[in-house]
Amino acid sequence: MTSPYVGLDARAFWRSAASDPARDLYRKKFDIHPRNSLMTAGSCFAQHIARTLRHRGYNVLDAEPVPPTLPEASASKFGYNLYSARYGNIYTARQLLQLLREALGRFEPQNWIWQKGDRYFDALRPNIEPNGLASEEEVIAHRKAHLEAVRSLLKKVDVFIFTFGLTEAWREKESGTVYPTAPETIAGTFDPEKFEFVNFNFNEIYNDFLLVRKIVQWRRPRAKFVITVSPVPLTATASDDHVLAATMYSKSVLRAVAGQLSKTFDDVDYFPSYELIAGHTTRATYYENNLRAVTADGVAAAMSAFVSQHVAEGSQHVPEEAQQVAGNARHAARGSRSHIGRKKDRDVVCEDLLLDAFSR
Amino acid sequence: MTISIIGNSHLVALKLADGDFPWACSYFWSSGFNLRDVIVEDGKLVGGTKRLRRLLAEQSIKLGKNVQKEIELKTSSAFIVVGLGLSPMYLARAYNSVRLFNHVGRGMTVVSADCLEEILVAQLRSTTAFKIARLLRENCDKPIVVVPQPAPMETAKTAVFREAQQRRNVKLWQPLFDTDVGEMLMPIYVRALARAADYERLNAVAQPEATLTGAFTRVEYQHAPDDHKHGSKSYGAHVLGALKREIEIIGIEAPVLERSSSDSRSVPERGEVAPVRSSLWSLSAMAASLARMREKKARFLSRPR
Repeated sequence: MTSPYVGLDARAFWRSAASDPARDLYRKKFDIHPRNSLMTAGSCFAQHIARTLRHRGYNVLDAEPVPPTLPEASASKFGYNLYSARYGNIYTARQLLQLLREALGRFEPQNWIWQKGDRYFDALRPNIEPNGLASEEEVIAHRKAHLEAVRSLLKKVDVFIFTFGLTEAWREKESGTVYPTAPETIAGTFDPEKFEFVNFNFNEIYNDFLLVRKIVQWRRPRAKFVITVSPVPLTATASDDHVLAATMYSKSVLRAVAGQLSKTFDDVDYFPSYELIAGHTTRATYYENNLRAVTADGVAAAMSAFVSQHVAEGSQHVPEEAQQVAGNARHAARGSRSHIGRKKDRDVVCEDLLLDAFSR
Repeated sequence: MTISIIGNSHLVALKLADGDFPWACSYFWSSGFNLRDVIVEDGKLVGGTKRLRRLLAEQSIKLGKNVQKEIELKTSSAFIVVGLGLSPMYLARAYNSVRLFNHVGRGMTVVSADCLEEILVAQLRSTTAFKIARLLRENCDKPIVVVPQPAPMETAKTAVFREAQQRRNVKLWQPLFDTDVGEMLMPIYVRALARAADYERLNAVAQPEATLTGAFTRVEYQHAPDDHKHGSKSYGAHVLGALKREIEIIGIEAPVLERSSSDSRSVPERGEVAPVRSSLWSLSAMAASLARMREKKARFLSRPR
């Protein structure tokens, strides 16, 4: 009799694998062809995924493209170029499910126009118009156009890439409408009679994603999913727990859901961006000094692991940065800071940064 | 105290009306976008190419002494940059691809007023007018005011054009034909102009509201019946009035003027520097120059191909 561990790959053993975590951590489950239409959504970390794939020449769908001549720097301010449509950050599976159901006319959100002064905000994507809009009528018209764009995505998507961000959300008690931000963070008025805090559990998140999968595959039966978990800790929690404990809980639940989905379905692949950035082996070197924001190196390390597995078919392009960043990852594993790209990625749009501002 | 006015043909309206402008003005003029080649050399704004230098020298000789072939930056109290691509045309262009929610039709992209403004800011900053203003700003700390060319004359809506380019322009402006639409959009353009100027530490004077009907210039401010682009003397007077207010806000005091009974022209009081008037400026020479350009263009267009 021999031990069942004998003969396993080096990646199965901590001693051999932890020294170079970027190598072989991710093995793709299926190919992504450059011609495949990719749809991206999720929490703010997902913006990096969309951007990298676009730069790599993948066919990332964009149902609400940047208006001609709007400069790139301004585009993200208005929610363009971040994802496949201007839905802004989608932090929870429930928020995603709600959006798809709304786009298909199966759900009518309530209390979704919030006011700040004389400006009106779409509470379901409050960050896409930095100053809000002039009237409720205008918010409704913009949302209508947005939902049409989301519907068009559902007709084209081949691979849906979604990043789970949070388990915590705020919702309207009566209708169950969930929001990406608490009332009064960007706009609106917080009324505890109307709104409540919710911390979704494993079953709720798992079931929500099953419904998302069903909706997508109803139109695109061969659609596949790549799911990730955002390595970005919570800015704040309303759970009564310490924010560190709340973060660990939230990420653990999301990671468990992602793992379960990936184990259960052949068409769902889990990409371990969370492990690549937040794992022990990096000694937090992929975080900025606030231990929350992910460094450019961290993003590059994660994305290189992804693109090294999904090299465009027929392309001679070898992802050089994958090798370079793998080297950096080794540095990180040895406890030294990597040397490239020390600058902060200020382009990522996160509503939860506002929470941070509120806490001061 | 001299104010330098830099521009293309849209400067004519201001020149026509500068009789009551309290400051002495010197002009730096070349047609179309010739001035895109200006540079600053030894503290002077000069043509950056041989051709432009020659053109500027010729204009100066032909049109009079207050038409300069170069501008010494330290001798001017302020600079006014007129026309040179700074135009509500960018609004028309943008509105052919995006719309505000209440004008949106099938297949069109709906954007917010803020987003449209952002588009315009970027476009306006890329104009020759802004490039020159930026160049001036890099080389001096004096007030610089940008002044756009007027919106097209309302006669352009119904005029019959022979040239394909003109017909294309009319088509471009079509979404703004409706006066209500124009009235809704022009404030966005004006805000964008102010913001664009602010970015570059400049000042801007938009087209006076009284001269507008929607997104077009009222017919009474038309330079000539068949000219759908240029403003008249009374248009120039409106703009100069707005400029005067702006310059005073900037902090340059207007010399106090009094009118003599025999001469309707104003003269300086208290021994202030007398505004240089346009006795040597030959308006007819300038008009003739514009007419020659038009003829040349027409000849070019009618050439057998």
